[in-house]
Amino acid sequence: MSFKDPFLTENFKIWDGALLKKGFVDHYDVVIIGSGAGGAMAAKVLSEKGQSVLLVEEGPLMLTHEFDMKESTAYPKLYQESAARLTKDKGIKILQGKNVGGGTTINWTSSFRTPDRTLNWWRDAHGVKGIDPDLMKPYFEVVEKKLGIKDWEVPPNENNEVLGRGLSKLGLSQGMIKRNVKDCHNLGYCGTGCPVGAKQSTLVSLIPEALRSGATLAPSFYCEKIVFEKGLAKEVHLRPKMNPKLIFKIKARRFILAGGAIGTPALLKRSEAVDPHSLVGKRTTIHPVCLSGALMNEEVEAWQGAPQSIYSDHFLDSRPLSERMGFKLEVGPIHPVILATVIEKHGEKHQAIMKEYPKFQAILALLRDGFHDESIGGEVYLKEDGSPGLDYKMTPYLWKGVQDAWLASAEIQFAAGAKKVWPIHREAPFYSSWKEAKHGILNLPLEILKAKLVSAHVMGGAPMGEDPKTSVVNSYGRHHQVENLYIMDGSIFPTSVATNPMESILAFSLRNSMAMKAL
Amino acid sequence: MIYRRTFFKLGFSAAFLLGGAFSISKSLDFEAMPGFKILDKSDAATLKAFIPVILDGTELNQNEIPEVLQNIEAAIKGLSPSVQGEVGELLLLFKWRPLRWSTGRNSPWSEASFEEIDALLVSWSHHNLELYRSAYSALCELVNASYYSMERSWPTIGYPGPPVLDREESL
Ligand SMILES: Cc1cc2nc3c(=O)[nH]c(=O)nc-3n(C[C@H](O)[C@H](O)[C@H](O)COP(=O)(O)OP(=O)(O)OC[C@H]3O[C@@H](n4cnc5c(N)ncnc54)[C@H](O)[C@@H]3O)c2cc1C
Ligand code: SF4
Repeated sequence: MSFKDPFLTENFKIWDGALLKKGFVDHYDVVIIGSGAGGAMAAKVLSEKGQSVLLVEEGPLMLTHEFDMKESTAYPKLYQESAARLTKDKGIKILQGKNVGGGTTINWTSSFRTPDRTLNWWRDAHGVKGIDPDLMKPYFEVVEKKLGIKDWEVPPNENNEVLGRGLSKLGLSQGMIKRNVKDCHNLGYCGTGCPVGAKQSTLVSLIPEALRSGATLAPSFYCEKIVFEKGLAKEVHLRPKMNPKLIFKIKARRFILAGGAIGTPALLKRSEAVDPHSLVGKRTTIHPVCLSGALMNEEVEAWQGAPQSIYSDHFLDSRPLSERMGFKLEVGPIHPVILATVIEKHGEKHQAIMKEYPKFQAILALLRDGFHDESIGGEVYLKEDGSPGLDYKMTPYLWKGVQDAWLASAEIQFAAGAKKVWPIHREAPFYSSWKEAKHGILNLPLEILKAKLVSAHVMGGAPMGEDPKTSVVNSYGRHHQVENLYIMDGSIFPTSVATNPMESILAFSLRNSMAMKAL
Repeated sequence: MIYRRTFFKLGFSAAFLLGGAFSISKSLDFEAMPGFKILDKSDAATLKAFIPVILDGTELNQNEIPEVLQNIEAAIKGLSPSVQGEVGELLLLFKWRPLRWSTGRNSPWSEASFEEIDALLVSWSHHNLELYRSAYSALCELVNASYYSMERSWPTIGYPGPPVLDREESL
């Protein structure tokens, strides 16, 4: 079965801020800001309910046939800040999408339900209602059916295989990752946009469905602010990419913010939305990721094949939530620019590692942040030009998790037959044995801009709950103070999800937009 | 080695002053370069001196440096105004005389030798101050990313490039 791009064959209502050709209406039932996981789901549900919907997206509308699998095309066109977004102290790189489809266009297709443990924690520690695992189950089932989320039957690529082999040798638990794909060619280029329409990003799934039900898509429009009047949201101000000096003022009866967990809190701040308990943009969690590289004897070719197929929750399951920092182990696709920028070296030393590219393997450890007093997340702030930034500080508790994760990864890599292992840290050498690595890792300075840290999962900043003193929106995503304002993206999570968040965001957005009463 | 130690020692006061230096508008001594909007003549001259050091060991030809520069310019263009400002500050660092003096230089970085630049990079990469370590990351990232996004660099590291797709079939 081959992919037919509905954007090329169907007549959708698109008002493109990069062209400014087609007309628009200045009043809708619902205006949604952001077309990633959360926004696209809300657009689909509400337009199918017969509401008139405008789906606004800051990034461009890039179609499947334009994805050329090159990093030089993908990063500037599809990622926030050309994939070079950094935390305030420059210690952590933050990857996020900026295009029609948001993160789902460029993500790695790993699909996990919200762990029961996390749902129960949100209920018990954060007072969120109606999210018991059995109540959430039907939503996950719908999302999975809709986006083709299933077990991945193709054998893992060697990059994943190394992780699996090492885990087996050490007797640690592992699982196969489900993926949101249909007719996947196993190419491995999910991160630069799936060139064959196999990945069920919102760009090829939920957004076309919303448009089919009459929604209007407005790509390349930056939502600068929301204007409030008499305690209600009245209109949004949109600036088109084509001419950012212009402002279009669009009114709606209800507004849904889905700009992602940096974009949404920033928009609330720019709009000076009421925030009586000063909660907006706080407790931002990012699953900080540290990395461990390995040189294998055989070719790994980590650029090809489904990027993520094996994971281990051993270091989550064996550590109670609020105690020692737990982490999830996965691998990621390695393309030339990713590798070249992860290695923070220059000259011969840099080149020596680049030359080993075909045999280079890497394990990623995702730290479960937000569940402990010493892991309260970061804070979104506005820069001088109104664009958002994230201040995220590493604490000793988090660093301990990084160190544990380097140790666990190195042991796994050696068990899988690695010749050498390199915890990705400026001052770390390549270790030749587990014994040497163990000693070396314990002596590495735990400092930013020495240890390489990245994140591709941003969550929190407008948490849900029933108590307005500790949450920004209620358990169904409605703003506590502004009745016609909703938030439906990763911002509503009170802690990190403790697993890859896309399916959680989709399921919560489905649940919460279904719960919105027809007006 | 003496040079390194002096640099470390003066590094503190340097960083202290940087706040002030950074607020100097870039346009004060901006000397335009044809084909470039963001990088000016002196930025380009500095980068031209740093590129061969950062890419030492690769198969970069002298005549490919302009292309790397173009890629750097394009990369900076894709950043938000405030992040562009931060890169501007990084480049300003090289124009900033106290940095040169602190490292014992009295001529511009574009005239520095390979060894001098290498020593500066090494000292930044391990510096006690995060500011210098982040300057090191930013500079290496800009140059390395620009080089490895060039298709000609791929065979040198054993990367075959993306697979060829039969678009007709898949569309
Ligand atoms: C490289 C990468 C790999 C990933 N891999 C996985 C994975 O395998 N599995 C998984 O579960 N998760 C993965 N993720 C994370 C996942 O994609 C995100 O968590 C998810 O997409 C977030 O959904 P969201 O709705 O919160 O926001 P996003 O998907 O980020 O969408 C927000 C959208 O809003 C737009 N926007 C923001 N502000 C404005 C504004 N002011 N005006 C107009 N538009 C605005 C943005 O441009 C963006 O397109 C990955 C992420 C990345 C970057
Ligand atoms: S592996 Fe390739 S074909 Fe499959 S979803 Fe990813 S990019 Fe698309």
